[in-house]
Amino acid sequence: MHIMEGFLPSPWWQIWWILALPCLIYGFYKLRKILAENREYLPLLGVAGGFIFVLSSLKLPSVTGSCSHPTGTALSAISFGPWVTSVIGAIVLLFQALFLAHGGITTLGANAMSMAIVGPFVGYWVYKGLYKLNVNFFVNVFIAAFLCDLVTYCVTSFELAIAFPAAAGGFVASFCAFLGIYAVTQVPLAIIEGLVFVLIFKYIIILKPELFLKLHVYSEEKMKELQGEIEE
Amino acid sequence: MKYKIEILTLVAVIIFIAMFAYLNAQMSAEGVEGWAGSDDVGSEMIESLGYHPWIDNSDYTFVPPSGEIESCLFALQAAFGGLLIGYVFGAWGAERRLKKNSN
Repeated sequence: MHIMEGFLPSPWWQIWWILALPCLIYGFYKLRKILAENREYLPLLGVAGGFIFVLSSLKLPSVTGSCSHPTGTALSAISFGPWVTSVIGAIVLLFQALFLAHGGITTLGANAMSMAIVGPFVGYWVYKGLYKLNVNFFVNVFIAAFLCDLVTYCVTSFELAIAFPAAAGGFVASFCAFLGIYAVTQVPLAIIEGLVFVLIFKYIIILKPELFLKLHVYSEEKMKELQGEIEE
Repeated sequence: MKYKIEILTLVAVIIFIAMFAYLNAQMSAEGVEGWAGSDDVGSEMIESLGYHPWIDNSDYTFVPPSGEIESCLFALQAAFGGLLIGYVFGAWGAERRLKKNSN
């Protein structure tokens, strides 16, 4: 989903930077607050960041004959919320821009917007919404992780389409063309990513359910129900 | 069933690999050069519109000198992430076992 360095003309790269910056600053504030509240969250935060690092470095082949990578933001988005995720995601993107020449400093705003902000936001809201509707927890995690991934690529397509509207057909034609490159490739990867995150959540529930209780990922009665479901 | 999710994930991964093998065989039969990154495909499409990037990573920072070094850096990135995840899950697992034994 990286927009490579130099591939966004002004004023678009400035606009995305201006939109992303307040989210990152607020995310940083939230992150500090969460860690001041309880140092016990630190390992989970590390794991959440680790998954973004690992999954976003895996380039997997897909249906369209090109390769793409998952985003891995779901664990962080569901447990810590989208604001904190924006900070972790931006750190990973910065690392990749500086040491791997994937993405760049000028396009970092746009890339952070898609992977670290909008994607996690959609996943988080969907998770909360389906939680209220009492959808099965694991189904819910799957849908949220699937959307965290897929929405990222839709936003990237949107960012490129709005900067490069097609000569014939304008924004819509261009958007569809970029969706064909980014989003279609991503669908099978997003399914795999969703399943992987369901597994991760299952094992965290087995090993360290109290962290999710404290972070209000679910309530106490819901946890009993889940543990019964796992042991069945 | 205790391992329902594990089995489901395994099946999905197998389907995914089968899909790759099938597509790859088909593409090599047609002589199509494939499996470029979607980032590069997107960048090529923009360049085909007549746009030229106005800045490059090599203008201000380190760029991996070859594909080999790039994949080395990607592997290191994944290894550090994997180590961290394995360490934390291992610590949680040990903690849980200790708690169980003390009761």
